[in-house]
Amino acid sequence: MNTAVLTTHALSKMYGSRQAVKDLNLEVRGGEVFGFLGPNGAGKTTTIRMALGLIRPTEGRVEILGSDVLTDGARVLPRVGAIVETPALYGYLSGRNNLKAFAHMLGGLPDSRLDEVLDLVGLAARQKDKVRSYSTGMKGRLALAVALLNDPELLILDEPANGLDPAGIVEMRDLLRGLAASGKTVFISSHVLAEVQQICDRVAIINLGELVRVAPVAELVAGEGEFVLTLDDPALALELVRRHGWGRTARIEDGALVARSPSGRGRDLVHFLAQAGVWADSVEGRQHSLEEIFLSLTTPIGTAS
Amino acid sequence: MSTVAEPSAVLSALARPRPRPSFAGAVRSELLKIRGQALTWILIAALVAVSAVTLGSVVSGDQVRNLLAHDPRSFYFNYLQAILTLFNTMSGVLLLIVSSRLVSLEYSGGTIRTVLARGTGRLHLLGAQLVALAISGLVVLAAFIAVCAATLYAVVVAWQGSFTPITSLPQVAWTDTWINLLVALVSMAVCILLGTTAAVVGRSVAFGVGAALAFFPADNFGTVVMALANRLTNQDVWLQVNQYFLGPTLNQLAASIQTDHAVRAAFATPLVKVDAAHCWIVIGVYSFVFLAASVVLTWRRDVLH
Repeated sequence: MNTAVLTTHALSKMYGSRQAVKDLNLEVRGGEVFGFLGPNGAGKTTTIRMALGLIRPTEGRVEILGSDVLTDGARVLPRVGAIVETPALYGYLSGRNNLKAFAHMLGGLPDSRLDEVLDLVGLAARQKDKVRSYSTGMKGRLALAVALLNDPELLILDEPANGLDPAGIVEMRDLLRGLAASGKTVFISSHVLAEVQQICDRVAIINLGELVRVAPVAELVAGEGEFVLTLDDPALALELVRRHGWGRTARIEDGALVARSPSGRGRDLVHFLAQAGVWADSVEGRQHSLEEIFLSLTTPIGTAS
Repeated sequence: MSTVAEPSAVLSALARPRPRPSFAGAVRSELLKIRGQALTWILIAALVAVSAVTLGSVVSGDQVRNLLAHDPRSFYFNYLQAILTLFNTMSGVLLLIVSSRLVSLEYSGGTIRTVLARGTGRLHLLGAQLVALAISGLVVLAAFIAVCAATLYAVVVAWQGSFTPITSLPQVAWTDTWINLLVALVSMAVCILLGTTAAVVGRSVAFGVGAALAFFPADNFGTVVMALANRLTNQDVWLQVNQYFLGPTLNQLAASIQTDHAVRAAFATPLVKVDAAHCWIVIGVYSFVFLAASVVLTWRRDVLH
């Protein structure tokens, strides 16, 4: 399914004289897990709020499932499940009554549906307890149950891993993958870049309200044809490869040689060095972590540590 | 999430007919929230306790017994006025607190984000809150009438051997009963609108409850200030201004309609003589302003909470 599920068209938001989001054009396709990354204050939550009709754009518009959110929100938003910022729940009600309160808003759902989502997030045993007694992680899980109540086609989750323990994060990851596999589209805003790297198909990086990059995760983290070789004498190997045009960017990192290959294939680089009597113990294609990409795109020049 | 169900097992059950927001469902949700707040029941318990003490004092003593024996009409009017004053005061406090909390807790708890993000319109939610509060007020009023009627019946039968002294009262007594009921309904409606408006303006529990509770004491006390200002300056403008205060006008409403017998208001009344038409206009204008402010502010303002 490649149809656009969420699209922003030249979306902008001003708070007074401050530009929170500027001319943002995004397209989230059906069935994908889409990561939305950016440092604090980048405009992620403002974008999500505009997508959910909580705030009005200064310019531009948001379409979800082909309908304008501002003019047709009552029709389209019931097909969306969302957690915006921290999980927002009625602390004075029990977990089950929280679900009931939101289910009533949607015109009512059978009790069996409440049981299902409580089972899904592992809160069946605590459903009668007041939510104010829940831990942060439990509140996050209940908020997810609320988001799933209406069988949404699109899930918009703002920092869904907040407050979860490591096992909870793994289970959340599996759940989101399962949801995507079932055809649902998941839009995640997160700071946990390792998680995003593992879950998402594509990511958008936003900084200072502007879109910096949108790309498949695999494309972002792929290296630029470089290989990492461990050798007994990396300095000698460096000297050898730098004599050639393809090797001018070669360098030593953490005692290993990082270099391009004459042909783009790792075995040709190994062969080249072997012909000069330098044997590599290991060779592997170099990949960037999403964190490195994120920092390189969002850290102002001269401030990177 | 150690007890989370297998996503694949639950995902198969996720295909459901799509729910849509409904007004009746939203009202049910708001009623659930009102019932779920411990403070609602504490205030009702206080209403019951104060009512029991007041009714006990109103119907005890030889003087009251003699009045019933010799002048059942005056006995009935005294009883009616006492319970109306009691109900308007107690239900006013109850509804001001419950209405301002119901609305402001959505903002301070952030649940407004979740509610609106599911396609429930802002005015749809506000309307549901007002209807739920009105239903709650009517339930309290009905229970109060039942208790007062039962008390009256028990006392009259105990003292006079039958309920005839009351059933044989002239038609004006029943007309005034309906007038008092109308005044109670108007008072409740104004309190609901005032509490809601305070919450919509402040969007916080502290401001909402504080402003709602401070309003009537302030304009009742304002009457005293206006009287002093009139004496100090010898300017009638202070008296003219005071006739447009909401609290004193509400206090005067019952007396301005019941012209067949003297009715003494429990709190401040306008410093100049006002008729029923004036009272209705002042109360109507305030109610319209409260409602219009709630609607416009709810509709126009971004949800940043």
